[in-house]
Amino acid sequence: MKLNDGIVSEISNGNYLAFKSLFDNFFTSLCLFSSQIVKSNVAAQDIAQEALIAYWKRKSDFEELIKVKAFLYITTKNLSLNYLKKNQKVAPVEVYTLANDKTIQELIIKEEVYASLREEIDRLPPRTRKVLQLALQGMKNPEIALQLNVSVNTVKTLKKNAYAEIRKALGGDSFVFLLLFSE
Amino acid sequence: MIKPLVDNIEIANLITKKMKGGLTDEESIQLNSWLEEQNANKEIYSRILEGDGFAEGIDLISEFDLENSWNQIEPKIKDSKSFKYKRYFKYAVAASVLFLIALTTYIVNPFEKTEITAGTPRAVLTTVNGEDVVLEKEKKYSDQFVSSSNGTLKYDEISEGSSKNAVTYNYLTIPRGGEFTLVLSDGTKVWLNSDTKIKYPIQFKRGAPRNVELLYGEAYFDVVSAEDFNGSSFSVQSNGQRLKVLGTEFNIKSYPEDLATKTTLVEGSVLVSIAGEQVELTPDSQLIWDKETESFKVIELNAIAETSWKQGVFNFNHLPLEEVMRVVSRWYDVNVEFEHQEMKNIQFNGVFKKDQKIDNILETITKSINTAYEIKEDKIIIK
Repeated sequence: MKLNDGIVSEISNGNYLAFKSLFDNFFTSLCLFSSQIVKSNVAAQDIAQEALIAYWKRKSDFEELIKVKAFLYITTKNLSLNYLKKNQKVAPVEVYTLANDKTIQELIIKEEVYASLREEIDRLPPRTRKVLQLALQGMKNPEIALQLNVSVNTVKTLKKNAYAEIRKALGGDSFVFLLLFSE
Repeated sequence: MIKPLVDNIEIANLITKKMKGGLTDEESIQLNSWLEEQNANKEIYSRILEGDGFAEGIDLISEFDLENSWNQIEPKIKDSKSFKYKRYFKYAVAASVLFLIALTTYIVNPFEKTEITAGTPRAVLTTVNGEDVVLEKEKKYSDQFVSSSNGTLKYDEISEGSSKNAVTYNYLTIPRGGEFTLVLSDGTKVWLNSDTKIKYPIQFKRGAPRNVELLYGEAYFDVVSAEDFNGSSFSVQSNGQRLKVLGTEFNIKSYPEDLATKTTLVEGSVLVSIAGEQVELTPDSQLIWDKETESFKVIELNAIAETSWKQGVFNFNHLPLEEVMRVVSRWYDVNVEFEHQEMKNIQFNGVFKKDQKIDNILETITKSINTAYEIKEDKIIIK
């Protein structure tokens, strides 16, 4: 389901399924955002869960999606910095750099843009998507073929499908496009 | 503190729009003025355009367990006050289902030997609050906008005020050995086969596109035409394909265990978006999506015969035995085992009524291919 203000007003009325679809759409973004601060995937996942529960407890305070997103990012940021302080994972100076508005700002903008690009990739059929993900990790066609147990020709066909789709969604000069198809 | 964050998200939206195309003049000015504000902003922007960290993010995603995380969150949010009585309601439903199962097992099975019976109309409705309601043929159920009787779940016609509200969804799940009929708020009728799950709005919005999603299984749609419904199109999303119609009858068969997803057009015309292409189907044709090669083909066939399950008939038209037995296993809720793997590919041709005893069906099938069968508890063994 596409997120919009309607879903936020449903959540504020206690609609549990609406909250579930916001969770499905947003959980990964919060994990990725937090993991860049805490450098631990397990901790990031706990923090993202905690932030979403905090929103549910205050759900009636929100009417607009953008404000919910802002609340979730700010809560995730604070929980992440607390985690670092508590676990003394980094020297206080580094915590200070991380708390710097510009750094956080960049992490948020990036995650918001990238999440929406990932959506385009998620729309692809599963095997086509898998080929793209492996290509994104820097694998060459023969390696991908080996990994997926298909022929190199099948890999080429699947890439061609993806090529057409991504070009339609993002235009031919986006970096996703360049990353995927530089041989 | 919230304000600058909201601004950041708005900037992110502008950048996304620029990448996908479709930035308005006004938005373009907004983005430029943000870029001019500080050199640091320009640097952020160029790092994003280069895809800095994008691939790393994709690599990381599999490290996060969405389902498990939801299972941890769910009890915490359901503990909130407003959900208390609903929680007990859910237990009550679960308890009554258990009781029913125990009772039927006792009645049908007094000698501890399972008898295999044909399916019956039953389904589970999941409401917006996450409650599960068990629906059966004899059981009447009604709630705001919806009522169930005689194996049909019917939603009320769209009320005038409804277009102001946000769209909310229900789910209907048909278990193995079940079937059900659904009438949506625009009058569109959907026949649902065993082992099927569908998601749909409780009320469609007038003048807005009508979207439903077939999560898995098989469904036959008789869609109320767009002309009768303010010209708004009807679309069905299913496993990577989107099908857009203007009023027509068609069937989608999309079981995860099947090798292909099959879309059959009975009447009218539909447009299917699949793998980046648009395919228009004509009546008596079928689009077959091969999941292994992720490619498709369109064949001609007798669509009425292909979709006869909804009239209470199994029509197996030169199908491999494995596929035939899969259909049987869903309707009679049994497992099937082949003693010899090569039997799976033998073609079978034949028509059965769905209320026939399973022994009749198995006898006919096995005789026609010169073999035998055995039933062990809830398992059929093809010799």
